[in-house]
Amino acid sequence: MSQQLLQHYELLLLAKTEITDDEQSMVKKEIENLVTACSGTVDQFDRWGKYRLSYPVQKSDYGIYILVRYSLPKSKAATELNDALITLLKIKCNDFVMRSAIVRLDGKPSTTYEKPEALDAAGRTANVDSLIRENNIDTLLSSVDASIEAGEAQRSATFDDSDTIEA
Amino acid sequence: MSKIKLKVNSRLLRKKIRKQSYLTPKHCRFCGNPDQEVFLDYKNTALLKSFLTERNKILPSRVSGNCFYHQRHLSAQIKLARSMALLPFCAMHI
Repeated sequence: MSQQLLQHYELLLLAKTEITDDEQSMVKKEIENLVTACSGTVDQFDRWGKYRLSYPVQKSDYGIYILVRYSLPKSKAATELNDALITLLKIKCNDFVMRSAIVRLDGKPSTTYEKPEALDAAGRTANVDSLIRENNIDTLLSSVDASIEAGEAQRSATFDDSDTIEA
Repeated sequence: MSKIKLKVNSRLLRKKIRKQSYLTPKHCRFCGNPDQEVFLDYKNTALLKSFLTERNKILPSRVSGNCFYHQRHLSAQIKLARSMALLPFCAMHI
């Protein structure tokens, strides 16, 4: 007996930074309800975190990205589901959802994907030492320090009239 | 001394040969690499940024070397990323 082909979809949400946990769980629950009503399954619900946006969206420079992956068998319900999701996001979640995009994925997508690095990622700190270490400029700094120290040592050791410019 | 003008076919042929002499053959980095094609995604801003100019315009395929199919795919992904604020539309003014 042939199984119905599963179609995989992906929904990327851009939410405001003031989004609360309640609102996030509400969105998750609503999406799950809609998807399971069309006999589909939600595969992934990833909250990426806070990002700096490329241009201000609704007058704010920062936003939170949420990625939802879901799959459902190939049928007419797929288009209805996508429309229903869009209306949900635009009407019910209008307060905190700024942008959204639904993409159909070819084949079976892998659970891992490339994404830009978040501002509030785990290992990311906003101080000078980590910045130096990240960009590998500590060698430059150490050479600068060494030259300054060497210059000072030289100046203090050989402070006499022989350093004057010869005419 | 009057120059003998060649027929159109020969002139065009000579022009083509001259152009080929200084143009290196471009090859698409996505063609034949299924693992590279997987990375061609609107979420992958690191890869997509390498195909934008300083003013955040999409590079033409004669510069980036992409084939028509992958250039079309790439520009579609870039435009989707732009609409989702992952990539900028234009250069930012301070």
